[in-house]
Amino acid sequence: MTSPSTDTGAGLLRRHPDGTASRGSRILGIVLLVSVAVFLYVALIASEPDKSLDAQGQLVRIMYIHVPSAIGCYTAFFVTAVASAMYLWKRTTGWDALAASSAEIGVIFVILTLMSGSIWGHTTWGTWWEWDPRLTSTALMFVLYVGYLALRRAILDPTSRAKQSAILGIIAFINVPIVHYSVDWWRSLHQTATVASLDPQIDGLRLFALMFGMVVAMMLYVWLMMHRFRLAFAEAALEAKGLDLALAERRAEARADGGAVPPSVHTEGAS
Amino acid sequence: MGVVLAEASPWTYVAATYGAAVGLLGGYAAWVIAKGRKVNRQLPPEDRRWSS
Repeated sequence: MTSPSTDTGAGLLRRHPDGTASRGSRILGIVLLVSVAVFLYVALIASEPDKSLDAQGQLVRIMYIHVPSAIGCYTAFFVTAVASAMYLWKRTTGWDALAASSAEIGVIFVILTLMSGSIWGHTTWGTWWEWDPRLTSTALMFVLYVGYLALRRAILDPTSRAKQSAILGIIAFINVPIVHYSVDWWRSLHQTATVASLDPQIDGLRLFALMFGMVVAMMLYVWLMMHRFRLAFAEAALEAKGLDLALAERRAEARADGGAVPPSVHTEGAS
Repeated sequence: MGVVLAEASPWTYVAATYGAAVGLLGGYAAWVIAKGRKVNRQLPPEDRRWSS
């Protein structure tokens, strides 16, 4: 039995009637699952350990997670900044929802970047954490975007929330190029970019694992964005509906106080 | 704890990294899907813009 208003499809493309999936997100999800399986095979089994002069051995496999997750958070915060600027120009819910969704996914990628970097640093540098320019600026980036998400929860008025978080979304992005170029601008314990030129420091399947990891991270970002954006949009619609109901109740109360017969206001499903 | 980690093989760290990645990203994806369904259920069908 299916909902008359929805075509939920069949097999792997079947959609939950209440879900945030579409045919496009389902197809991308299947491609993503296959890509993740291929990535894990290449990254963990097929590719050779690092045997160069500054050999990392098996630990080079951590880089296939660390670098793509860093690229993922750069992308996410760039989208947040662009969507924030677009919100300040257009003032539409969609741009605000896009900025917020991308910031949240960016924070997930930053957590993964910091975790994988810390695990790698423990074995290579002998410390879980070092107040090095790259690590410090990345930690600052994490704090800034957690602050962005906290700001969104702290302001109740949707218009004020969207405007103030859009301003913060643009300001916070200033730190992103600082994170990226910190290894070039200051003396850093962190290594410089592995694949920054036409002469990368790795090759063969290790280079493929790193590059394919970036592709998978981008696909994962897009897939997560499709679902998170739709969730944010549904939350905004629910919030607007709640505000409408609250306004209707207040008007009804005002009319009742003024001696008028209170109209019946149905609040079922408002919570 | 420190002694155990000091003696851990590189594969332990690799496994911890990949486990954290799968757990974190998979957990977040599951949360987004579940919350999407929960929020959509509270909306009337005409407002479920992404379900059509």
